[in-house]
Amino acid sequence: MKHSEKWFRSLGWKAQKFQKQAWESYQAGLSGLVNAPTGSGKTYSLLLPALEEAFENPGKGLQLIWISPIRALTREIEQASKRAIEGMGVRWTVGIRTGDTSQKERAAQKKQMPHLLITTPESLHLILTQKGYPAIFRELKAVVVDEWHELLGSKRGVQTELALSRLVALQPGLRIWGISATIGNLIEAREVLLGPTFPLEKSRIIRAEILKEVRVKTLIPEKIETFPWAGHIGITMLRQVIPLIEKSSSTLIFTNTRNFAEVWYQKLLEAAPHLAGQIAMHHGSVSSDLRAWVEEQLHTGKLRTVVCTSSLDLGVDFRPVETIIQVGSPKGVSRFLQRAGRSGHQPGMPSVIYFVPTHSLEILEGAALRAAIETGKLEDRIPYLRSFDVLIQYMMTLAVSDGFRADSLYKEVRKTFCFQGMERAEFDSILHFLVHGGESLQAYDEFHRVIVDDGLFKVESRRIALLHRLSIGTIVSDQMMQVKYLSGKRIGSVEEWFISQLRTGSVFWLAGRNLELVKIQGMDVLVQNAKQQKGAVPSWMGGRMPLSSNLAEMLRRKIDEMKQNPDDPELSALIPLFDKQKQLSHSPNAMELLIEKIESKEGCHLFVYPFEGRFVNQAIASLLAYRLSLFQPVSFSIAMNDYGFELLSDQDIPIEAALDSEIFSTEHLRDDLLKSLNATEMARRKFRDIARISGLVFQGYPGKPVKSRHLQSNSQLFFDVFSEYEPGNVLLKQAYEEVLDFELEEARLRRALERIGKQDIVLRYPSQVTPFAFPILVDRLREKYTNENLQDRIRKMLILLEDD
Amino acid sequence: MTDSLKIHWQNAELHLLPERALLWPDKNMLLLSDLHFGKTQHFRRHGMALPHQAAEAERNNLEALLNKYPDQDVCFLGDLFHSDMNLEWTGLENLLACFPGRHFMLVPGNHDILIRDHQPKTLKILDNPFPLANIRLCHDPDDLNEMPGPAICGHLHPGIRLRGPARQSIRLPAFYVYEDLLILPAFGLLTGLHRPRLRKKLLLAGAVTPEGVVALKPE
Repeated sequence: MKHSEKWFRSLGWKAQKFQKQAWESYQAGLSGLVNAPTGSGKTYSLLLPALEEAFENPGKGLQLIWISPIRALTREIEQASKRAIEGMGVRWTVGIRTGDTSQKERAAQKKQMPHLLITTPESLHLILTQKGYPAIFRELKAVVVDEWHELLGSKRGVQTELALSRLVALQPGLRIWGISATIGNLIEAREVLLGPTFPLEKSRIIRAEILKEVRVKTLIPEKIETFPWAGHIGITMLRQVIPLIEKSSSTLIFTNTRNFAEVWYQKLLEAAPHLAGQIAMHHGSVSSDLRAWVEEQLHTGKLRTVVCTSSLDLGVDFRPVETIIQVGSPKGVSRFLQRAGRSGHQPGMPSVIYFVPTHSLEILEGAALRAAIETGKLEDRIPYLRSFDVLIQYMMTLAVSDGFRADSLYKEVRKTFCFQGMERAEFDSILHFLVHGGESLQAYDEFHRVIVDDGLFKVESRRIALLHRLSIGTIVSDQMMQVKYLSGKRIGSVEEWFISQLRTGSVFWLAGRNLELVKIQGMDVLVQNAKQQKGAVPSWMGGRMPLSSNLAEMLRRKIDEMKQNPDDPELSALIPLFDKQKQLSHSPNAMELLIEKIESKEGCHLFVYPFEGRFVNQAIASLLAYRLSLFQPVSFSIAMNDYGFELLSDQDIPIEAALDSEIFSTEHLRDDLLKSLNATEMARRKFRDIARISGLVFQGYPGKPVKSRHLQSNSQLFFDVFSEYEPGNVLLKQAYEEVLDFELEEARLRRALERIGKQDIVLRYPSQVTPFAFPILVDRLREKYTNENLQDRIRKMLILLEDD
Repeated sequence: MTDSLKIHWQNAELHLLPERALLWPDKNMLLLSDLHFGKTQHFRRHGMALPHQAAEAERNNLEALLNKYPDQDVCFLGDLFHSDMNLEWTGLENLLACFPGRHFMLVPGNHDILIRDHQPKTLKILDNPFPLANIRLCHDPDDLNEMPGPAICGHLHPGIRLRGPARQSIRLPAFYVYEDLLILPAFGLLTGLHRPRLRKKLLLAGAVTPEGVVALKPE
């Protein structure tokens, strides 16, 4: 590594231990995983040994592929690599290939690929749709997957696995490296990246040991009695937050949603107008130009404070800031630690992170986080298994370019982690689906997708090939509308449904600006700065994360500690609230499950508190609803949060009788779960993405008008039709599997029910809503469960005609 | 509750049928809208694998309806056939040919691009709108060009959301009966539901359930 070391010396840098280990392993021809945090020099741990090799023989054409999960990061990687290439004097070219790459550049790349290509999983798959693509990879030496932990728990991870399996088949000696932040299942992360059959002696996990002490400081409201029980976003805490900002040279305020970020930004400025000009915001729906500007201003110290979402969790060269503030539950330990790690990089100094609770029970999470950090146990990123939608998309990709043969492709994809357990019959049913469009054959059918020509599966229709190229990717989002000034300058994006509620002249907030809607032009919303100060704040759809099981366990422990003499400041602060809970109902210990039954104008409410995170709570809720419905026909609305759930019915809920009959039993769990109507509703939502990824539906793409006359359809329809006529369809089955694995978290649910089985059940009849129940009541995410006859339900409905 | 819902509207007695069709006994006529036949094959031809049993189910529904009301003529209020020519067209023609004594008519809708080139033997093409007694039959209410007077139409695939106690809600296909406009639910299965947003006074909505049509009156 003499050239690299020379270059490092010229800059006055010294290689770190993990960098040296990575250099050695790479040069020894090994594959593996580098575990290093953002900003630690991880890029050079894998880039430099590749450049070292290239110094003598730069090669011709593509040598190294660098996969990044985010387009925005590709520029940073490009800059970092150009710096090293120039510094070391390597005769290499660098190119970027993402959705932003111009037609002209693509054409140039088609003629001559750069030595180093920085790309995303989607764009790599697009390259695989080109005829004769194997020639591109003829001299490929290695692939690096950056931020692998981000890709791992998503379908983009599956996409990466599949692309790698193809590249390894083309280049058997290919080195594959991942870069990952610390997660609970690093060893599994390596297995997913390299594939389960990869020889372990040819791989390494290299850890950058940059451990730091993290201190959690919870901001505790001055008067717990007046602090809202729920439904707030912590704005009352502003008075304590502003002094923190003022005494710090740079601050990041992390919020959980984009909507929170907008509101916090606005309220901060209202409360501290002197901060104007020194504070900005950053989230996924702010335009990339604006985001780049904010990052730049923060680097150069011109901005003091940025209100942001997880959009600032990643970043190659993000310099440390002085103060980190987390608003609302971070939901998991890893994420919280990652954010904390952004602060105070002086050696030996601990990182401090301030936690701002948004309602009273959430104060507990401060204590739970601290306890969880002490145990050092981080969350796992669960890899997807058997994602047939992604496989179908990939098979289409290969069919569009050079075609594939069934036997060899089957063997190839079985080497990936995702499809290691796929049986030949399943693979064949997918082939059948691609060629014949379903299970049953009909004499006269015009299905046209993939054809088989002498054993070669390929796409002949140019139109189908085009539709496929436009649909590559696994990120399915709602139609977004671009918000622009009249001059054309982009501000950000909002979902269509939000804009549909506004009229010309309406005022709304975006990217911290107060904007007036001028007109809507296609998918563009044209605006100007508004004079009026009041406006709507958009909210964006998007899943809410559940509390991780690590954190949930700590939370239950802390609630149990409330029984003794708590010494955490958070717990002491909560004594009045728990006294109120005790007075109205009961405060459970670790060996108790509390159930509250309350009558109100709305009907009969049943509140149950497993403290298991919102997904598992929801699963227990739908299980309970289903099992209760076996006693008598009944309809329920279900609401939940991370702590517990509510069943609401217009008739009495016979919980007393049900408790005598093992209603929380794990017997027939899977059956009962799938029978609950909830599972169908959830599967229907999962199917939306699956249908899109597998190319079952085509919805047209903004900015890329394709003539698709009479081909627009929604996945709902497909879901209903498949459920009725082709219940064994692989994609339909996948939807239910995803629900069980990711929405209902079956494995975690089973453990929770086993725990509940050992607990004493405490049933109370409070006269009013308790501090535990209130946050759930305010939560509006409701699910329905019913087994009543439709006519009976309608007769009971207030005959109200309401807007959707 | 009886199966269908009988209403008196614009001096006519009309039966809203749970099969998502309208019976007009005085005119000896069944009115159906938005069948979207051929959608399955159209999608399949473009590589989107809708199960073709869906098309059979739709054909069976139509056949059952025709058998249940054996003496009625039939008028389709547009979007009978989803798109370009495909095999399902033959299936539809064969089905209609099985009822030789009856008149089948079509007020063409925006999807009915096929009839421009294929003049079907079994089907009479009417004007859009087409006047029948004091009522005009049309596809899209916009086809009326704001000319006053009562009309029956389709096109909107209307549905209704009902809300009840304990925050329950359901969505159902529905007939929408306004003072001077009656909108039929889509007969086809492969259609979505939308709430019509018209600046008109709603007299009644007929929600379609498997057990019958339920009259809902706005507050």
